[in-house]
Amino acid sequence: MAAIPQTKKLNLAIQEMHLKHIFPNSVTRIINKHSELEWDGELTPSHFSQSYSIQMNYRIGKRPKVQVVAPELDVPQKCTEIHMFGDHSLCLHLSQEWRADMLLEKTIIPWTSEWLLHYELWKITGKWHGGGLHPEIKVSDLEEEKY
Amino acid sequence: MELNAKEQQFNDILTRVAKSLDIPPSKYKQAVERYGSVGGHLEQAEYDGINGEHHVTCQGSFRLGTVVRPLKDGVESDYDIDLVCKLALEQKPQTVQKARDLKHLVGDELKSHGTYSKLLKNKEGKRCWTLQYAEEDGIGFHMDILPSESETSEKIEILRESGVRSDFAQAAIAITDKDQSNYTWKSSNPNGFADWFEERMKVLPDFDGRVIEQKHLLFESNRSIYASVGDVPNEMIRTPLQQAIQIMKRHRDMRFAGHKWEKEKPISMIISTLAALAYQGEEDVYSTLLNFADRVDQYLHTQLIVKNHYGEWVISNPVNPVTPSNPEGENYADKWNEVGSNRADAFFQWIGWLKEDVEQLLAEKSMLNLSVKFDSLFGSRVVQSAFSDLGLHNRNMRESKKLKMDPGTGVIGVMSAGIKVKDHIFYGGDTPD
Repeated sequence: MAAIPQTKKLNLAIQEMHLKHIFPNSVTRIINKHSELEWDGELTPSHFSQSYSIQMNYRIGKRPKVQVVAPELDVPQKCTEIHMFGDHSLCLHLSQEWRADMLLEKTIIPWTSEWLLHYELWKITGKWHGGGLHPEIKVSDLEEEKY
Repeated sequence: MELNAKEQQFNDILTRVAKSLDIPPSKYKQAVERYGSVGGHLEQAEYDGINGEHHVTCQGSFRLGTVVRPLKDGVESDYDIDLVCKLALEQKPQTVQKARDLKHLVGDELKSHGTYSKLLKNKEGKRCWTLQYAEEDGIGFHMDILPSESETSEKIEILRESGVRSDFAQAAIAITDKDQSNYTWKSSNPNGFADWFEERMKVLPDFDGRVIEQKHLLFESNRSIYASVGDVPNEMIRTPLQQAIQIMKRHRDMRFAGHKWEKEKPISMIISTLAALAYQGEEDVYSTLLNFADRVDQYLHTQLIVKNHYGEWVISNPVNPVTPSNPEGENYADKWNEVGSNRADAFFQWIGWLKEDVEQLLAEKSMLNLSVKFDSLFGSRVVQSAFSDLGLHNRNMRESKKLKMDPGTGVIGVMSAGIKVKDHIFYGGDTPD
């Protein structure tokens, strides 16, 4: 595959093609007057995991939104504890870590599966082991505050 | 045995369970300090009328690297440390009086010491003296000290004739045994056994390479304890055989807790000996466990356990076997043959459980269910620690760019092929930033 120039935003068809290539059984749709890509796929984060139905919605240049459709998750009172937004979509990355020239298949999807793995371990141990940041901690503190 | 991807993941979890059962490096260091100072004291002491060098060595699970925190009434309790104190006594004659003297020379030395006299358990043990160390962190040690002297040359010759390798036979010792108030002599060979065990363990391919690799890992994760890689003691290295034994010992303790045969559960020496005999260089804990259970089950064929023509069970101590030339040899299954004993049934029941449990664990369909089953077999503290360790490992692997995702399924792990999980930071706000 040819290198993609850093600044070039990838169009929805390219994102769709790559997603279908990696997950042939997944379903993709271009909706909202061709402005949004919707991906319905199954992710199994480990050999001992159940399969999770995931829906991802992406509009070019916007933050991709990922939700677990099924099974229903156990969400703690303070959902940020497991890096979840108030609407129960997943907090996978800092805003600057994802750009529209990146393939969803190589970023958002693996991060989602990794999130699921840490979600399962959180259910077992009561602790989030995947590291991460909460808004009250500044990104500039990142190096000292790795957790 | 080539493991499939699921078995590999299972083995990875088993290994982390074994690590959680093990003594942590900081605690191990404390144990070595404790027994180092008692040992040093007993080696340097003056014993009435004895000239020569006395030796104190570690034996048992600490020496074999199969230590597991014991369970008492279902609760994790103090670690057991076993020491052999070999005094430079003339081997002969082995009289009753001399047996009593030997036992009390060591006992009196401990009683006359300011610190050890306070730690010494009042009651004299059958063969040992016991020191009890309460530690600040609440996890203490029971230290059994076994007074002994060199075995007679006649006995060592008998051992050789029974097929015991010369260097193992040389390590045999004579120990004392107190029944009511009578003292008698018994033969034992903990150091020879440890050397034999180590040889069995080294059947593992590329043993030396693995030792170096593990020492590096242990150093990296315990920099506050070790100043350099060379500082990591050999005794902290764990092979699949040792970890399989650790798992089997805890599995036995949990499975028999509250069971009608609890007092007749298989002894650790039987598990360690049979596991070492059955071991054929398996490179992972999972195969070591499975093959052990299969080979023991087929004992008629593998001869790991013998039923002699009197119908008696025999599991010989490999460095003091029961043979026609050594009828006094040690049979670990002695008690199986007592009238009314359920020990043989308990043992084979346990082997059945082991196979069944491994099979059921492997068939679990969710990580949570897997952890619940693990909890019931190994205890919740151990399982929590193993799964936390797994989470941290995955995070470290992502940060060092070694984590991948399997296309098509989404399985995350360290594997040869797959989509690299780009490093990132889980962010958590109430609303998307």
